[in-house]
Amino acid sequence: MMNRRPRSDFATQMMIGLVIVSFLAMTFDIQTSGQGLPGTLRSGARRLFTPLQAVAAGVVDPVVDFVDGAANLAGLRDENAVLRQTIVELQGQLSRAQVDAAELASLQALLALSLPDESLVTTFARVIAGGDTFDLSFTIDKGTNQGVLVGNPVLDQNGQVVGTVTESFATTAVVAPVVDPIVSIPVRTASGMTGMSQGMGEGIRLTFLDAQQPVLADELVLTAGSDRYPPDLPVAAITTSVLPEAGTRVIRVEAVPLSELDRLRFVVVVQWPVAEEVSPTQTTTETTVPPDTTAPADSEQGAGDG
Amino acid sequence: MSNARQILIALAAVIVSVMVQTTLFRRVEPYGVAPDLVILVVIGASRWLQPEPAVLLGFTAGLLLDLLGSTPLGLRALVFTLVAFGTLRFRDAFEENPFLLMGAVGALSLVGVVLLALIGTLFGERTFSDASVWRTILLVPVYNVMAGIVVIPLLTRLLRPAAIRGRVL
Repeated sequence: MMNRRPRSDFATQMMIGLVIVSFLAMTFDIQTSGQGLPGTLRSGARRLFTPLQAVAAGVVDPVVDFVDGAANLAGLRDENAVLRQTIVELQGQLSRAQVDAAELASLQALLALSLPDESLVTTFARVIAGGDTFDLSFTIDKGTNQGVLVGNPVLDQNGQVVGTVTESFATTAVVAPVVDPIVSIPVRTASGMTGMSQGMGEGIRLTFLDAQQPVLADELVLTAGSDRYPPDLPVAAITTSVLPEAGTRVIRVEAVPLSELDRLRFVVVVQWPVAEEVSPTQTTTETTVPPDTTAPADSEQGAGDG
Repeated sequence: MSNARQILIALAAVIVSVMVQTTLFRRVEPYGVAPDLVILVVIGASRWLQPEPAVLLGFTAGLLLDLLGSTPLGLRALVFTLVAFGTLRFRDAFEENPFLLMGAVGALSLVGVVLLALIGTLFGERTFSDASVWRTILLVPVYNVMAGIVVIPLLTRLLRPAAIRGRVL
């Protein structure tokens, strides 16, 4: 075996060289905040691969939906052995119909979506790809050509907050969901207490620094209104009732996002703040995350939201 | 099989795995975690490529994911380069025994995921702020071993040299 595939010292040198190149690339990417050469490379790669991803998603999504639907209805097959074959065929038809109906319902809901501020300009987009291990972000099929800019809030068909645009290219954009640790949002409870939400990977951590009353389980949390999010958009539901910490007015509590992040097919991007001019020819090198005045100090890295 | 043909097939396998990873495994995530198919393909291909192309393949696969994702450019390129190099260093030790081979797939996947988390954290990715990080670290290698039962023989069939055509794994 050793004779067939001799190890090469040059491979070791090459590995060391590539490791150094990778470290330099990471440092450069972070220092330039994804602009410049890294942004250009990303934009080019996305231009090349987005059509492939869109085709793959077009094939994969209906198949997964079909399997999901069939799996959910599988119990019916045990009820009548004689009609099993018929049921399987009906299941297939039903699953396909459910997929179509769900997609239609999503699109109708998007069209009928009424935001608290009806003057806001929105853009509908399809989710075409996700990240990989440890990357919670996903890609949508609209970009700067359609007015989607870095920092724009992203909502689902029910007007619930999904996340924020962290990178925008000509025809695609990357969205970090509310559960992503880089995303923090100024929020308020239905009773008016203001605080911050911070993604935790699966759920959301809410921090209220001046709590004058307990928060209650299932209490809704809405956006408080800031330069990043319009006010009064539903974000999450608090999971447990919590009193302020002893001797303080601080409440830390977990919440679950209202939007079903793992089932998103379509989203709405809101052009916010409304005062910002949107150039249809703007590219990723021209878009930046506005300076964060409300986020904690440790959220300054990357394209985090605040 | 010529080296050039091997490399082209390995590159095609990487591109297909990236497509599957970013589309199919966005939707199919048992217990909230998906296999890391790209790492798996890098491991499976590095077993058969010459050392230099294998290291370059790992770097290219990682760089492609970096370009399509939102993490720092070079993070996955670095980790996948190390995974490919690890495969090169140890492939002679595990390739005769299918169980050792699958164990090595799991171990190399574990190393890859842990390095992604550690180096990502060093570069501001807040990976350890993710409440599911430990579940991901544990499940990805398990899923990769399961997926490897299909992917490794497939890559062997595509990339093995003609001289050892009889091998399955």
